[in-house]
Amino acid sequence: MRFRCNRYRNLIMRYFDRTLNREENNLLKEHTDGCSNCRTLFDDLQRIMEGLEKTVQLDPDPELETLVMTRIHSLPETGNGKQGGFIIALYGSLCLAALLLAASLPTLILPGTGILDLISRGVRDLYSYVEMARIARFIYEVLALFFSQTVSDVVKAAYNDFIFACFAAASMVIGYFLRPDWGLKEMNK
Amino acid sequence: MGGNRLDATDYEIIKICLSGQQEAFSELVTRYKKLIHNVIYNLSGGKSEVSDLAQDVFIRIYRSLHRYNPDYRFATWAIKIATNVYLDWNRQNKMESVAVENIAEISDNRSNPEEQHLKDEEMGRLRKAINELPEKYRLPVVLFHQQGLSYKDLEEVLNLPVSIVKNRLYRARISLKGRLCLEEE
Repeated sequence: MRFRCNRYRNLIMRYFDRTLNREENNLLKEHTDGCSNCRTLFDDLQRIMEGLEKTVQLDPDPELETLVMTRIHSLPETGNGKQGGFIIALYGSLCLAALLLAASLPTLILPGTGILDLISRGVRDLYSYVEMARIARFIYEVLALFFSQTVSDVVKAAYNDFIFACFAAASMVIGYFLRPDWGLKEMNK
Repeated sequence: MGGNRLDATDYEIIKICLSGQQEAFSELVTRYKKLIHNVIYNLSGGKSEVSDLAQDVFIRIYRSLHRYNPDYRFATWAIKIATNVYLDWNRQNKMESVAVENIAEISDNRSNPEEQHLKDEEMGRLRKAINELPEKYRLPVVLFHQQGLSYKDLEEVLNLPVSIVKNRLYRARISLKGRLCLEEE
């Protein structure tokens, strides 16, 4: 009985949603005619819903338009939301730029102390290790070739390595001009 | 220009407002002032700040015109803004019960004074019971039963799926029944 009543309570709710079809309406009526609990629930809800939906529609203040338009005329010219979004994006970009500037400021004022210096030092150290390994290999090849190959092979190998070394030197020179405290000064300390 | 505005759709008037002609907005105010006033009145339970709140609603509508989506009815969108304005106001001001005598009631000319008094008393208790409902249950009841919004409209206004709206509405009805029947006992 309770299970059936739960089903019909759902129909009662849908009745007040105005979504029952004719067949469901008849089913509900048939059940409420025979079930006092559901009948009471239905009648109580109907009284409440009728009270709710009988609410009178009041007239607003007759000066409402004038009051609203007066306030609108006094609003500042702020433009539409797209301009507001642009301003927010610009502000965010300026904050980010200020943050990056603050991060690099120690580097500009006191070379060797900022985050960018740490990064450049790391890169330079890595490069120097690679270069040392390259020089070691060059020496090995020279010796190996000297003892096992002809003079021309040794010269060719040396030439290849010399070209590579020129490129490495050029990049170090460029790095020196771009980062004054990078490379030579650090190495001369 | 005035005659043209009377025939214009809500979206056409909005486009005119967005092009810089502020005065066109007065037409929208004229069309929807009664709706907005009654939504605020019913949500707030007849508070004295209804007129101020209705103005705030229209100001917020004006500021949000560029966000209006013409795929939806303007009335539903306006009610959504009205609901949000009311919720913001309610959070800042503690909701107080409205005296039964201050609630506007329906005058039925066919009733004798005694019957009318009983009806007014019943309506007063109903209004009090609605005002005492938690906000999440009061909103669907007011918007569905008093403002006649559909479930689809409620989904948009309350920004909730229909299943949740339905559930809250059902619970609100049972809660109202419980409160009113308890008072009668």
